Amino acid sequence: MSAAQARRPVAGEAGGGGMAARRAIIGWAVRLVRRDQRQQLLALILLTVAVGATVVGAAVAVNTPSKAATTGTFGTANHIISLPGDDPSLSADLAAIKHRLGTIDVIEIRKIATGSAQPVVLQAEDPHGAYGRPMLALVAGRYPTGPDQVAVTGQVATLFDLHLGGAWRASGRSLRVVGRVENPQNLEDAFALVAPGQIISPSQVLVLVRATRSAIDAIDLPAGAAVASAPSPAGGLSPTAIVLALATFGMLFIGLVAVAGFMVIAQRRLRALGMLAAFGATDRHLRLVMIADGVVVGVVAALAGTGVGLAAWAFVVPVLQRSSGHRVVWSDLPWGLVLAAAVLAVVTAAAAAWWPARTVARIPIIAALSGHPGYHRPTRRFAVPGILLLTAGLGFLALAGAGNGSPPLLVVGILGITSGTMFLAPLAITGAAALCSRAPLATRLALRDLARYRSRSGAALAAIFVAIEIAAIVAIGFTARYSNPVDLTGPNLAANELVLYNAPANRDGGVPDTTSITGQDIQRAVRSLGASIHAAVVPLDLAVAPAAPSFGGVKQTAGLYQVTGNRYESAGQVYVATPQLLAHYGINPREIGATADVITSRAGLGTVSNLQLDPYGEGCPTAADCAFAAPKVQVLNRLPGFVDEPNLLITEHAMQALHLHAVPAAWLIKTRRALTPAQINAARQTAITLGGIIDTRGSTPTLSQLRNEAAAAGILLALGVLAMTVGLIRSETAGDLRTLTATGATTTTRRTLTGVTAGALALLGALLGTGAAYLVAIGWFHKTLSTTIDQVPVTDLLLILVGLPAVAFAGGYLLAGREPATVSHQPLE
Amino acid sequence: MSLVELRHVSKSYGEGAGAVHALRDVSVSFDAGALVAIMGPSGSGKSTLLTIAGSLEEPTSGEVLVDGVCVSEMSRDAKARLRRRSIGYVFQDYNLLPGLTAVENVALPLELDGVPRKRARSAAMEALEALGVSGRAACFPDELSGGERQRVSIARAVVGDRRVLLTDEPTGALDSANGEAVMGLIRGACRRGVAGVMVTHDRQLASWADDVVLLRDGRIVGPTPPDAPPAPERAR
Ligand SMILES: Nc1ncnc2c1ncn2[C@@H]1O[C@H](COP(=O)(O)OP(=O)(O)OP(=O)(O)O)[C@@H](O)[C@H]1O
Ligand SMILES: [Mg+2]
Repeated sequence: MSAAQARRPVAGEAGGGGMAARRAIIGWAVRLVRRDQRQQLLALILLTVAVGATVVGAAVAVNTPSKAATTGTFGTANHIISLPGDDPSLSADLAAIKHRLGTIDVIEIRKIATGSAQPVVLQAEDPHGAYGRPMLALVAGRYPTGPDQVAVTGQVATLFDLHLGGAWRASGRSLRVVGRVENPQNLEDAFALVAPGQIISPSQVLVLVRATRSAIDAIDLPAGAAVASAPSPAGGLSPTAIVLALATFGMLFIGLVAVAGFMVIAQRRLRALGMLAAFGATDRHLRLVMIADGVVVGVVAALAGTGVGLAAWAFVVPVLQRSSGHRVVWSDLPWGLVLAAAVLAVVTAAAAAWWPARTVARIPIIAALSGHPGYHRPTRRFAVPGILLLTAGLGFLALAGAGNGSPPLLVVGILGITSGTMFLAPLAITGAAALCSRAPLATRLALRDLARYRSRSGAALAAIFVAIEIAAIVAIGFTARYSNPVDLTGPNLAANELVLYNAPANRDGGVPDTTSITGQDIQRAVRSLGASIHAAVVPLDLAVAPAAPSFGGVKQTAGLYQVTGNRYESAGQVYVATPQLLAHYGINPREIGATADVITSRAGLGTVSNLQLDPYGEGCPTAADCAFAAPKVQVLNRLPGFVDEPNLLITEHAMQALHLHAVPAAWLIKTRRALTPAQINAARQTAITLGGIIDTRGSTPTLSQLRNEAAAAGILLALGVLAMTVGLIRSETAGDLRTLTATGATTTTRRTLTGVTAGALALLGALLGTGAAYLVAIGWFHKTLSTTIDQVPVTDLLLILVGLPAVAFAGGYLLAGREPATVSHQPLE
Repeated sequence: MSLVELRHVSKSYGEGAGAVHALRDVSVSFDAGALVAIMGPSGSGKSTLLTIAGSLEEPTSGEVLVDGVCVSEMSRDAKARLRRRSIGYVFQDYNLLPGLTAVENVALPLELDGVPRKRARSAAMEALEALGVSGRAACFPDELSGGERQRVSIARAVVGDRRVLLTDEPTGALDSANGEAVMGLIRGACRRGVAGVMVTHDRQLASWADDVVLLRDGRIVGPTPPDAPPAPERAR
């Protein structure tokens, strides 16, 4: 040894080089993110969408629940003491309450007849009251201050055709309209506001207080006084918790897709990472390159997603306001959850980058330098844990399906099956490659590359598979759910139908004991409605047993139940099969069997066991004497199938056998085209005058709609993953292509290579995904397999199993023409 | 004193009948201040010898000692530290990291070792200056010519107080004038006390070495003095 200067020892203690090293690595990693933008795009977009959706979802979830029963009634008070308006010692009582409880807020009320079913409330209240303030807002004009001034809500203004500055004669007084007001917590609240003390003889005096119940009970209240307490916050899961749980699951899936993306990026950087290791970077440094990348992607997605979400929320606000019935303020969203979603996005991206980071850091330096993707453990090794996980998943699902459907078990089961299938995915790839070992050159080469670059194709396959699995679970699950003949699900009515119920109770299968309006009046009003909106009107009758007891002035009607132990599951509204109703659906009474008790459009109902036709509804005096076991069910396809349509009818035969009589309860009103808002409003007005209510088509989608949407979403997602990974897998093997071209292969070969790569991944993903989904379904529904799984969603499965691979192949084939351009830059890395 | 010593090192790839024996029972040592050339036909195991000496790869059997310490007993982190602190490696295809400028590439091993950014940069600039490419310091690798890339990667291999310089055909892609210049640089590093090892096919370049190791089929077939000047000092 020559130069003997004092030098550091050659070998020494281990160590990372501290902050300076980390900064250098991160600096380089951030530059690489910019270089590899295209590869990050899918993960970035998915995370952005997830954060945005979480923000909007959280905002909607928090702002949707009706506040009518809480702040819409109580304001910031927790109790309302209601005093009768004719309390002779009213002012003394109010003074006593004030003395005991401190601050109080008094609202005087008087109902005024309007000639319509809905009364309008005249309300004397201090707009700046201590507790009532949140329930009052000025829309236009000003609050009433003087004796003859009034401010009204929009509904009252419409009802009485009132305008600002105009006059209103109400309950014998002439009032000047000085303002428009509303209850922002309950926009349905219709009232007229006057200044405090301006109601001469209130029918009721409400005292809003904040006090303990015992403090209120200690006060000596006058006769006729009542105390109402604000409902305590609902137990169970809060909407934010549900949104957070959903967001976590969504991110979990996106994390999987992102793993595929980062795996591709890691492989792209393999040579660079090998060099970095050769220059003395530790494993931790190598991982940092990838994880920094993940964090950058996560932060960008978190910021962009929050921005997009907040902007989208601004558009949702007015829509939500209309549907929720209370004012919705843009800034009123759960900021904690928004922050959580952003953090979750960063964590997801970083975690997704971790696995590829670990994988590349473990590849021997020399292998990395030559771009070799490292050595794979034989795929057989994965088979045993894969099968074990599958079995365990099935077991959990079976347990979940056997009990009352415990959600944790269901989730664990689905996760077991999903992860088990993932373990088997590499096996599927090598299997496919082996199967095609005699295929034409392009196909053989494509599949061999998939098997060779398994760490990359495996992650892509996993992401595709999960997308398809979720879509297929949704399709199968909804098919099973929708096919439950007892608990009917689906749209309630067609778009051209509405049902007008004579009384709110009729809607729930009850008949009020007394009605102020005679049957003939109702009939006349409904017929004239039908004529004015050009609609067919079909009366719907409920079957009532004379002996049926009534509860709260409402008599239960005959119903069909599935009885399991002492649990009664109602099959829904049972109408009487009147000749008129049958005629409307073109059914000849002679088609109905002489002994049939019930006719229905629900195909599965005929085979359901332990049905009971109960003439007393749920109001049986004793269980023994009202159950009419095993009624004879006849299925008639011509009857309608939507939930609120007359799809379940009791026959003349059963009516006589059970001594029931028909009571007019509702009207099916059917126009030729979809109902217009004006027609619906006309029906609503009629309903108000009759004291009834109407029902129109809700938002529940049809089964095929749901299934197609799920399948389309799964396919789109899978195609996105494919687009991202296939191009890369192919461009990594561009060297082969060049050699191929040099030896005389045509462009078709190149196109076929890419097409087969995409198509094969898509087909494998589709097969594994539907397979896993069916396993989930079998585990979950194992007891009722014959009635639930027998309805195969053929179109959707065809779409997934044939459509997806075909589109993937075609896309790969068509887009492969551009490849060499991206290849030219590869050698430097 | 020998800085790097290989004792009975064998390396084979694959198993069974298809196994390739890249190195068979090779013992060699590289001393401070001396330049050793490794020659041999293609596939004889030259690159393999170099990567094993540089702790980039594990031998199948035998041991590698760096400064008297057995490399196979070191942790992965310790080996990484060894590479960034003591061993400089120049690859056959002058691997520079894309996305980093020339000077950043050279400064990287120092920064990985915890040297503050500024000091690492100035040391890197010095090294680039010594190699005559300081004018291209701010360029990215794909903006450099082959010779410039080679010089930058040598700068990276010698920056800091490296004591071992392993080069795999460092002049493979260069014209003779540039090749000579690069050899001068390597020779100069050895004069400062670095143990230099160079794989080459070129007898002319091998004449710069103090000693030549000849490999054939993974075996050392003996040190053959090159045509020109006799080796002043033996490497083994
Ligand atoms: N990763 C590997 N897997 C299998 N065999 C390998 C691997 N790396 C090298 N070999 C084989 O080991 C032998 C020695 O290779 P090495 O690269 O050391 O040769 P070389 O002397 O550097 O050749 P050249 O002068 O062509 O660069 C060769 O036969 C080579 O095929
Ligand atoms: Mg070589």
